Amino acid sequence: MSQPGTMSEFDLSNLSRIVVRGTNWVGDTVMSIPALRNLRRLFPETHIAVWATADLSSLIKATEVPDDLIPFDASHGGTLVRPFRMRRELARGRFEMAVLFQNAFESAFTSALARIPIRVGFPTDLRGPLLNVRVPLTEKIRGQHQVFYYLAITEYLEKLLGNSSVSRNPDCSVRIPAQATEEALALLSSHGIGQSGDFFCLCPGSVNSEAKRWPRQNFASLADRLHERGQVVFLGAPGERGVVDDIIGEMQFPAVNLAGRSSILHSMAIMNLSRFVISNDTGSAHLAVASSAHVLTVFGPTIPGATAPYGEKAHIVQGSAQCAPCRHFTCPHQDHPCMNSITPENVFRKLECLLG
Amino acid sequence: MAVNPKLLEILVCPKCKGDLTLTSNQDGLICTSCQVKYPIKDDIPIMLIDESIPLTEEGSA
Repeated sequence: MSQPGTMSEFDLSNLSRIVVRGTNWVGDTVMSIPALRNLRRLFPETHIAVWATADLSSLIKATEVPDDLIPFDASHGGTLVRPFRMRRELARGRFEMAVLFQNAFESAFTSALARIPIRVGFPTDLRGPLLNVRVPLTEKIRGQHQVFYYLAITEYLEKLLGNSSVSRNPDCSVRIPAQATEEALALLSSHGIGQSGDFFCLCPGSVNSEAKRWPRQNFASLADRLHERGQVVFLGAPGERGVVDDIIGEMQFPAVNLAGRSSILHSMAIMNLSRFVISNDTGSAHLAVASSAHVLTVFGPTIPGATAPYGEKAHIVQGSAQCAPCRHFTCPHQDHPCMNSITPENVFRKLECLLG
Repeated sequence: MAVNPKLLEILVCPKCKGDLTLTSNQDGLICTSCQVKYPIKDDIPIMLIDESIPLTEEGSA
């Protein structure tokens, strides 16, 4: 008798339709790009749809992997309502296999409700019984960069297919559509950023964690220092527009606030055109990697290890404090020691070294 | 194809940073304060002050 999860009862070689449940955050989505590409390599002729939040559609499409997208509004419904709402849509897709990059119970539950016969993922969040291909979450996988965590799912499938795995050289970048680049150039020109001039992108936000924000006066001071080398463009989420206005208010030199104004694709094109992106440890830093931009990420309360922006163009500057890493969302200390241990001068010098 | 409507929402006049209006035949963006038109070529607005067309010149052409 076949063991549950060993796959001997399924034939993976003739699948015609696969759905991938993408991750919910920009950073995780960027880190799962190599796995998505690996899945396409394993199933070159198979119809692959990606089921993910609508906000991430343009980024996922830019990977050039999916034949179709199944977007959903993450702010609509809840973990109890959404599976029943999504079930019908997934069932309409007549998928034979669901590959779950996202770790939560909900994605496995929804796939089971939609009667997708093969459900693949890590047995996390008590969802093991809902999966019939359980990818073993080994200590080795836990200890590696998150890029390899997602890759491990597709490599497990590869093993089941009997293929020999190819050497790993994960690339998280995507090709930015030419139109997005041309539109980004128009947007930059409309704000007085010359096409030939060097400019820097600063991303001072962090939607979910105040503790991950390098202090705004530091961003203002760095932006003024950078002015001698090029203009400064701030990018961020709609809710971060006010923070950026405050930073610009503290600056001596002018800068452009595009936070909440540019779409994901426009932001990526702007990052790609910039000389360097300087970001907090947030989705923007990963987006810079996806854009093939050079990025310097400021780490304070978090450890760069497994979730640092991944790639040769990604660099970090790490604060030091006795209380770090704490992973708190709000710093319990008044002086935010880890982030204040990184001065604008430190970051500027590091950038000078990197710029050569 | 037409100009991306999302792009139109966020473009500003490079001279005064004011709002712009799409011309009726969609061949440019007008800044009423500066009295200039920024031409649209291949669905991409040319947002350069040097390439803007004064509205008086446009009218007399």
